[in-house]
Amino acid sequence: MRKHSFVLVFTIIAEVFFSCKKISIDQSTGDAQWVKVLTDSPVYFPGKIRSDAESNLFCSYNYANYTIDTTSAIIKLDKNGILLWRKEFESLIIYDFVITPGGDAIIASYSTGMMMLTKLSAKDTSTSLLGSYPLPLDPKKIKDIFGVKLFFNDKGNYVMSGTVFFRPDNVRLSMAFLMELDTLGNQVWMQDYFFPEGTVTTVTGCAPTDDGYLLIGNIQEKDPFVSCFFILKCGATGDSSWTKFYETSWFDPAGADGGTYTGYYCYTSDIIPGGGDYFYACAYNEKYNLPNITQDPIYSIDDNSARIFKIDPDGNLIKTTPLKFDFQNMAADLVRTGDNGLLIGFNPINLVGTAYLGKQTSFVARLNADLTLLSVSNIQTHFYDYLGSICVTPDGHYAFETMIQSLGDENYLLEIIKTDENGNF
Amino acid sequence: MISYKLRLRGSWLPVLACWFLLAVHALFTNPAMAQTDTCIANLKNAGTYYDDGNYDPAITLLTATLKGCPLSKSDQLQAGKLLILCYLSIDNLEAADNAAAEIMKVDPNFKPDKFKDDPRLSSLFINFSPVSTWSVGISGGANVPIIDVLKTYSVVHADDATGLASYESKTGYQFGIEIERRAFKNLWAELEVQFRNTGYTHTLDSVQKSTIHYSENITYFDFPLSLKYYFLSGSLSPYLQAGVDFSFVSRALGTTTRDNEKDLVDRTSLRNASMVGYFGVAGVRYTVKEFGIFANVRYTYFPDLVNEEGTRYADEINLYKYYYIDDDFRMDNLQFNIGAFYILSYRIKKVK
Repeated sequence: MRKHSFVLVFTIIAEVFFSCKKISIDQSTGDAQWVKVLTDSPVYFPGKIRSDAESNLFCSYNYANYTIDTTSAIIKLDKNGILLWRKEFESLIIYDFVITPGGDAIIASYSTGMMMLTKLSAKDTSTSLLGSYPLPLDPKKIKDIFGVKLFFNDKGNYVMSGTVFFRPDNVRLSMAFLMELDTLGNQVWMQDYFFPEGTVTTVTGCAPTDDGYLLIGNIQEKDPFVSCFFILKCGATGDSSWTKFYETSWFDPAGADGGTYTGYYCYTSDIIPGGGDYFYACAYNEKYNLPNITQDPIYSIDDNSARIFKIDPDGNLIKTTPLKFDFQNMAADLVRTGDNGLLIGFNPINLVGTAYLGKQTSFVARLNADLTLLSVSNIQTHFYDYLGSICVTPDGHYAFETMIQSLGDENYLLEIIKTDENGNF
Repeated sequence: MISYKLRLRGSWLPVLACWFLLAVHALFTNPAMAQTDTCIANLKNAGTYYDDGNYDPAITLLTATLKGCPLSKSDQLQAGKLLILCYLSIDNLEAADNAAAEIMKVDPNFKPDKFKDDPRLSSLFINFSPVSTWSVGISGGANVPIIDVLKTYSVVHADDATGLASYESKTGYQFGIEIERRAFKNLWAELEVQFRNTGYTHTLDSVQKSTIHYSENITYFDFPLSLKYYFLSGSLSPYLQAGVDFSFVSRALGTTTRDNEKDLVDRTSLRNASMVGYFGVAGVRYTVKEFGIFANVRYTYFPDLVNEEGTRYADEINLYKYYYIDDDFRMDNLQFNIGAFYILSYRIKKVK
């Protein structure tokens, strides 16, 4: 009897011990190839980072306003982090850009009802307009552009996707677009996808498939606060084939205090090819359980985890991995690693002005192809920072564009980190 | 008196214990005292025999006494000298030599008194020379690191940018213990254990319109293994020494200041944990009997970097608060030492 009791107690202790799988967030390991902070110019909003074939890096950012607007700039760094040049624009919105095989930057921008492609010469930083692509909306009604992505398809043409928010009659509506543009900037085709009234629908990412494109987006409702995300399949010319929806939050009006929420109020990241017959994407909570100075927090039976998805070409979720550290769960960008895993950068939810005393620092998580978490590292843990974008460099490393608090004055500064070949920094 | 008091208390047991202790004391000490008295008497008798010219009984008595009696060092020397004179008196020079060698074992620095001792002893002992074989010492002094920056790195400027940084050495200190063993003739092998504190300052200009002052103290445990060659055999002996220094970092503390900001950061993990250095020493020692002092200058060349590879960006405080990161740099070390030593053992060398 005593022997059995001992075995029982030992088993319980062992169960408790082995069930407590602790994932710790690490300080950066110091393995970065280099870290550069540009102290000569303030940064108000980080943009995108891209690499050319020689592993030179191009970074966009905004130098005057805390949003993506016309006060934008691009810098070019060589593979060792030496600043080669800086080009500031007074009237060019840089949503995204790609680097051509010749080393020029092709910028996706918007102006007065038209999406545009602008070529920035890497040699002399001169700019030239490749093309303008009118959106099927009254320019005066267009309010915001979100989730613009520019990438090459398998023909070497440019593909641009995004979401336009417009307000025709005091009602906020949204429309997604997808277009293919040849290397000279001529429009090959364009598709638009108007979303129904009453919800906020945003397409946040697009990835090429063997026979078309997969778009990912989210739908948020406000009364009650329920949401879902969707995968939209389009053909080679953008015609939609099917849409799969995944509810992420539910409201039970019979719950206590006038109803209870379950799940997470969803916003989505980009979607990227996974290296095999699958794709990676991420969705994360944007509203529930967060301190809020304007109104009481909305509580949900959820832990605010970001959900990282492995998605098959038919839009099915092959696997979902939750990831959470503090309140920091806003996926900023994601890239595929050399071993077909995933490197994801996360930002703190903007809690400025609230009573929240968390560290408000961004972090980078690395997962393998099975979405098993390999490591999580803070960019830094002492000061406020904000991760803008991640890219893979042809020399086998990764580069992060972040915005960090300046200790010298009240500005924020652009920080570029080039990791080692395993994504450590 | 004790027994009286105890008897008053009416107990015989302590009295018995007291007698027992006295008996034990008598059993073990009285024979020894008796033996010592006998030994002293033997020495006196041997002197009488020698004075009377009875050398053989004197030799027998002295040999037995030296072998079987716990004599003091001076008694051993006196008995040995008398034994030598006995042997010399009967012209047994070989036995006299052996007896002299025994005296040198007792006191390697023994020299007959020119005024008090028989002149024959001086001529005999001139053939014996003590050669030290083991010694231990302590040393300490000041050191200056010699800094060699191989490549500069910067968070806010281009790497290898010139004119933005300057290093200065700080005077440190070291102390240690060493043990030496004669390897061959005047060539000695030496092993040391040394605690070394060294440091430097690094000033970075033009970091967000301000200057970063970085100061670091690093402590090492060094294990120098070397060969040392003494050029002279007298009291004053210059030497040269060369060897390998196995150096292990103990702690590295960095202090960074910028305007009114100041931070102290433990940078031990950013430093190369172990290094192998190669050193050369020039010095001189002065010996008085088994004691001595020395002074030397040592230069140690460390080919490895002080900073640990792959840790340049691992110190968040310095990286993000001061935009300060390590350069690739080496630090040789120039030391000035003084010390003292004690000779532990000798080998008696017979001069032919």
